[in-house]
Amino acid sequence: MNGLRTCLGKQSWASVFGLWMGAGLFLSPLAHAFTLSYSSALQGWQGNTLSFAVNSSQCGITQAELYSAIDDAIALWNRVPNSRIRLSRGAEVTTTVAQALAGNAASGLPTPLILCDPNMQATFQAGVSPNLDPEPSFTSNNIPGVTLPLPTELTMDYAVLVLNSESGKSARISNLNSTVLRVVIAHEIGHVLGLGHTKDIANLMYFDASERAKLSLSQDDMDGIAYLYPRTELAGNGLYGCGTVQRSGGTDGRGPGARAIAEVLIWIGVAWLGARTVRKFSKWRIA
Amino acid sequence: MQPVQKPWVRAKSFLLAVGLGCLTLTVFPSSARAWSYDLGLGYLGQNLGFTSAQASGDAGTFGASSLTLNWNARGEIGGSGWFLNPWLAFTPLHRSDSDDSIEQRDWFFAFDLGLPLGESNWDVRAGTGLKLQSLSGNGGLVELDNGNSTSTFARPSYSATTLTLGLNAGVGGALPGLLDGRLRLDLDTWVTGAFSSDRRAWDLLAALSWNLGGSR
Repeated sequence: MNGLRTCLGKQSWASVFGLWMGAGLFLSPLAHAFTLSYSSALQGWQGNTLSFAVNSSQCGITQAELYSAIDDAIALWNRVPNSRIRLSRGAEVTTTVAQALAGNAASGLPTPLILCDPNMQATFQAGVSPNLDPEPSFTSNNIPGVTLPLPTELTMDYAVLVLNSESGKSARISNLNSTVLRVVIAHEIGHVLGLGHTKDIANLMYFDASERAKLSLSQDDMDGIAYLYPRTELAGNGLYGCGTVQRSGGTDGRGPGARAIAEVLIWIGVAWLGARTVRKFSKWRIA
Repeated sequence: MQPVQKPWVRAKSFLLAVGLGCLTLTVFPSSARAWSYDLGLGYLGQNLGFTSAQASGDAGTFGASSLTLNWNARGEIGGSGWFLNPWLAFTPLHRSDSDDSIEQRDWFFAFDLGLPLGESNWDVRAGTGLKLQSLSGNGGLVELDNGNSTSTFARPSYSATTLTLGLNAGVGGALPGLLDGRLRLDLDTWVTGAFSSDRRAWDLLAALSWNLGGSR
């Protein structure tokens, strides 16, 4: 043991610290960060809930298929433990693409809105006044979805998520398998929330979903949403996931804050009684 | 942009903290004695098995990895064998991208109760605490792929802090024979959103600490 002690002398501790620092330099670049879709100072949507209206007509897939994909995409973003915002699917609406792309927060149109465009290429090539400039080179052949975030000042308050349902286009959502469809919608929802693209192909917010085989978030995606919607559980965002945050359009399965308090007390009590019992019936000798 | 903080919500949180403290004092009326302190280096893996680490979207085993500095104190409760174990850990080397445009740091503050495992050098601990994550950016713009071309996206320019309550449990003990038993290994799991089926997330902390002194 003396040899070991000598081995772990001051110099060795310096070596341990150096190795630890080196490991840190190795691990740190694993993050590639996130961006915002509009401004460096963008602060996202106000409030703790956000409900997506849907126009499922003209999508080329059944309403049930679209709803299922939207629900799964929403559930993915709702999993971020330190984000305060709770997403939900809202009402079916009849707002058209032209109406939605020409609207804003003051227009009274449902927002954020998810809908499909069977003439996507023509729509974006021509533009829609006043929000969408003409883009003659736009092709919808490999773009399954586009989000038009239209924040007022630095607050997200209007956004339209357009899915490609144009016949003859390979990126038409009816041509996508169920996983990729969910990835596309989840990615576009990220834009609706205020996130931009990233450099890292492992991120949901990477621009290309073609290699994606699983619906998931990266740490960068989670950081981005936590940055825009930071959850502070001692300031009204609920405790242990059971708290004061309510979701529009139904129950989210979480009880009131009193239940969280009771559960904490019960856990402590159970742990204490269990440990006492173990001590009583075991041969552990407590120092 | 922050949600309105209603006074009754802050009062509820305060009462929860006071209630837990009173419960501890009620169950363990003896004052804690014989404190000892450890300082160490550690590893943090966040959101185990959940976060995407590959182009396919598959999750990495250890989630997002960081290194930590750790401090903990242990004080035996009146000869009962139980000990109080407040501890903290934070990540001094922030996670960031190659442009160093965003800094992310994590702090863990926990208050555990522990019990030695018989005559061994090991003990088990469990408790509750706070996880604080700060995210800040330097602002600026970056050109990234977007559809068939590229677009300019914004890097974040302000700071945001998240604060979540968590439950933790761990096992640790002095490594026998090493440095007079003053070298200690701790492994902890940290659960955020423990009672929420959709927000539950697991973190792993491992620390190698040096005992700074005390009677344990």
